[in-house]
Order: sequence, then C-alpha cells, then structure tokens
Amino acid sequence: MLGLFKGLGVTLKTMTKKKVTYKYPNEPFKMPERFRGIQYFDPELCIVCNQCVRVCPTDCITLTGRSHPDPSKRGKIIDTYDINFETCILCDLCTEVCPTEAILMTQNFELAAYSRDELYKDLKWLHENDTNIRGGS
Amino acid sequence: MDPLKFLGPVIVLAGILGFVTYAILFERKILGWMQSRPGPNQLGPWGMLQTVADVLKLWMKEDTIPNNADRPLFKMAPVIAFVPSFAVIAVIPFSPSIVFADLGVGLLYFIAISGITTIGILVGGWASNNKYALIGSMRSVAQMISYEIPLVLSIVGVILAVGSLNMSDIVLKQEKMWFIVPQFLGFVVFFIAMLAELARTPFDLPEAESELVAGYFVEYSGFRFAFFMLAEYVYVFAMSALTTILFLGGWNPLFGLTFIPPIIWFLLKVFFLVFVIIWLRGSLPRVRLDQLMQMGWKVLLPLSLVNIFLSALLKEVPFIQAFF
Amino acid sequence: MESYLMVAVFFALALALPIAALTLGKFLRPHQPTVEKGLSYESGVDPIGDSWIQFNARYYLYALLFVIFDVGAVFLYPWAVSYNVLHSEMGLLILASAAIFILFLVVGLVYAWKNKVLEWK
Repeated sequence: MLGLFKGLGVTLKTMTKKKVTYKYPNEPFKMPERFRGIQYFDPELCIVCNQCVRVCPTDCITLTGRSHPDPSKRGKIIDTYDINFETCILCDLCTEVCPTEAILMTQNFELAAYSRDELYKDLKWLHENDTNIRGGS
Repeated sequence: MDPLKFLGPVIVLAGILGFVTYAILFERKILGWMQSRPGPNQLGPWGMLQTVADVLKLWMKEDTIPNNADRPLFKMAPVIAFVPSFAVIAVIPFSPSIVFADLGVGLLYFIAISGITTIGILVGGWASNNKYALIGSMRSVAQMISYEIPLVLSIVGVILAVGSLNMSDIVLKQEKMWFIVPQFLGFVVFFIAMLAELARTPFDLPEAESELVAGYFVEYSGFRFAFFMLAEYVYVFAMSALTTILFLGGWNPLFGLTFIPPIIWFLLKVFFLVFVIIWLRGSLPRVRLDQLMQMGWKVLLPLSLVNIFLSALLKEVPFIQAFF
Repeated sequence: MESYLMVAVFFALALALPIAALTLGKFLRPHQPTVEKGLSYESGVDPIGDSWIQFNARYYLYALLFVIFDVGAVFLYPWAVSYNVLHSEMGLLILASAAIFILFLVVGLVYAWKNKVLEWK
C-alpha cells in the first residue's frame, strides 16, 4: 500500500526534473569526437593512388584520374570520385589508408533521401561536405 | 421560457469540447514530464495545436466498416456511447446560480444515464464481428458492471447524510465540512470504482493496448473512433465533477477564500482530480483481470456495505452526528 | 418541468454533435473501399470463422450478481433519502430493516464466493 504512494511521489518529482530529450532536428546533434560520418574529400591532395578503392570492403568507391595537365609535373590528378552511400559502411578504412589525407571523415551523418540515386555522392558534393571534419590522425 | 436559456447547454458543449482538447494535450504533456520528456511540442506554441491536428486528421480519415459487421449497430455504437456522457452533465451544479437541470433525483439520473455507455461499448464490440473487439468489449462490460455496484453503494453514505438526491442540496450540506472527512471510506471506495468505471490506469484492461490491440474499438476508424475517445474524456470530466460534488464540497471554498467565485473553485477541484487521474496513469502498472474482478467483489463491495452501516450508526453518536 | 426540458436539450445536443460531425465528415473523407479494407482485423491474417460465438458463461454469472446488487441499490437509495424522516418515527428499527435486506443480498454474495464464482480463472 505504501509502495503506491512512493511511486506517486517518484513520478511527481520527475515531473519537474530536467528533460533528457535531445531537441535533434532543431538543434544539431553533438556527436562523440571519434564518430565516423560522411567523408570529406579534397581533390587537391589526392594523388590517385587507388588505395582507397582497393581497401574498401564494400567496393563503394569508384575513381578515375588523368595525367597532370602540366607536362613538367609527374603523377596524376583526380578526375571523378564517387562514393555509393547505399553500401558504404563508414568503416574509416579509406581515410586510414590514404597517404595524403585527401579523404577524411566528418561528423555529419544525415544521408536520408527520397531516391536511391541521391545516395551516389560525387567529388563536388564530397568536397563541399567540409563541416565538422574530424581531426586528422 | 427564456430562449436565451438554451444558449447555456451550447456553451457547455463548446466548453466540454475545449476541455477534452486540452485534457488530452495535458495528459500527454504530464505523462511526458513524468518520463523526463517534454511531451508534444511541435504543433503550435507549446504544442497547443496538437490535439486540434489529431482531430482534423481523424475527421479526414476514410470511414471503413468491416464487411462482416452489423452495419446499423456498428454505426450506432459510438453515438450510444457518447450521448449519455454529455447528457449527465445537465445535472451538475457548476455554481449556486449555474445549474442547468435542478432535478430532485439528480444523483440517480447521473448514475443511471452513465450506465447506458456500457451498452454502447457492448454493441460496438459485438457489431464489429472481430474477436479482439468482442473480447475487449466483454471484458469492459464485466469490469464496468462489477465496479458499478461499489460505485453506487459507496454513495449511499452521502445520501444518508444529506437526505436528498439533489446535487445542489448535497453541495449545500458540505458548507461546514466536506464529505471526504466523515465519509473517507466511502470516498476511497468511490474513487477506486470511478477509476475502474472510466477504464483508466490501473484498471485500463478494456483497452490494454499491449494485449488487446485496442479493445472494443479495434475496427473503428476516423471520427467514429473519435467519438469513443471523446465519450471517454467527457466522462473523465463528468466523473471528476461528480466526485467534487459528492466528496470535495462542490463550489464551497477552502479556508474561507470566498473572494474567488464559486465556479472557479468548482473547476479548480475538477481539474485537480483530472490531474490526479493522469498522475495515476503515469505511475501505476495495470492490474491483472482476475485481481481486478476479485478486488471489486471481495474488497470494494463489502467495504461499501460496511460504509452504509457505519454512516448510519455514526449518526447515533453525539458530537459528530452533525456531520453524518 | 423546466429542468426536464433542459435535460432534453442536453440529449438533443449530444445527439446532434455526432450526427453533424459525421455528416460533415462525409464531404471531407475519402471513400475507396477495397476487399482488404473490409476484412476484419486479425493481426494481419485472414479472419478464421465467425466472432459471433457463444461466450464464456462466467460473464453471465457476473451479470446475475450485478442485477441482484443493482436492484438492491435501487431499494437502498429511497431508504437512504428518507432515513432521517423515518428515523424520527421508528428509531433504529429503520436501520435494522435495511440490515435484514442487505443480509439477504450478502447471503447471495457469500454463496457465490464459496462456490468460487468470483475467482476468475
């Protein structure tokens, strides 16, 4: 019988306590520091070594390069760089393996879209995804 | 007769609809606060338009009637359930001057008319031709008739003291002392039985959403469903008002604070009781069906019978007999 | 009399609200019945058999008990209303008469209790 009133007391006290709800869509969600989100890509740094494509466990990265427009310089520059977020598991391996840190992880995670086609993100989109970049390792 | 008098019931209807709209919002808000959530807060400032949006949604929903259902009964059931819930409000005295129907048998009228809703529930469950609905309605009816008895008998103590079934007389008798003090046993029995009659937690078995999908209104959609819900919340108001009149002194002020008008006092007490009902919902688990039935017949019924004799016998004791 | 007129007004309003709301709703709501929509809900499975079946007799016993005590209440209400008047004429005899009446009701309750009608299994 006493337990009934104890329970009522608990709920009454909880009423005035601080709410634990995240106001998520209105206020951005603070992710933990090492959270792995959508990649940021910097075409200036990329040397088209193809390591990220090879290491990717789900084969979601495709890239093409071309030789440097300035004939005096060696190496290649990146032409297209696409990540298919239908299959990307955000495992962080591409950024681990990148020798120049041209690809980095951000803390952004909002990928919801109305069509699957929108989940193919290209070089331009990945380059513009330049907020909340995780500190280089 | 003054034709303006007919405006009163229309105002009451509008007031009741407004009450239901915000009672639902506050129920969700308070339940949220009790679980450290803010509750509905998206529609309108402070979520004020949440229920309005819900009602509009229900209004524009397709009205499906199962092929196997008994169509006339299916359509009638929500109306049968709703009409008495509003009709009982006629006899409630809001203040000394705001009494719509000053019936000599007011209390009996209230109890008798509110019993009709049980038929609406049974009809709705039966006409749906759905197994969940039938089980839900059978359980509801069993629960409601079981708790109707303690509810009705626990009031006898109050009637003994007043010697009248008129609601205004009952309130006037409580000017010195609210009946909650001399009739405490009756109040406890009445309050528990009232919760069961309203099918509120901890007695919300009829619509135990986790076991019976929704009880007797499984097959109802759109506005027909809305009328079952509306009836439920109008009863929350009506029953809180009845409790206020019978045990909490109606419009009588507390601590002699007479500068606050009687209608405000009455509504304050009603809203406090509504809050208590929501508070109980936020705190207590649901009882089991067998515990529910046994409590009604084995505990509350004997207690309410004892209460009758106790009240009658205490009338013989000097000094306190004035209160009984 | 005026009070009963008021009660009638309340009844009329209570009837008018659902009728008006449902009639108005006809112009707002869609109406596209399909076979699937017309099926009874049974957790997604096609319904098996009819629901209009014979029901557990236990409910009937509760209904009987309800009738006994509700009729009892009907007699107790006038008794309670006129208690003060009768008390001044008859003294405690009026209480004793109600006690005898309730005793008969309680005998029924005890009988049902002993026969385990009140256990819900």
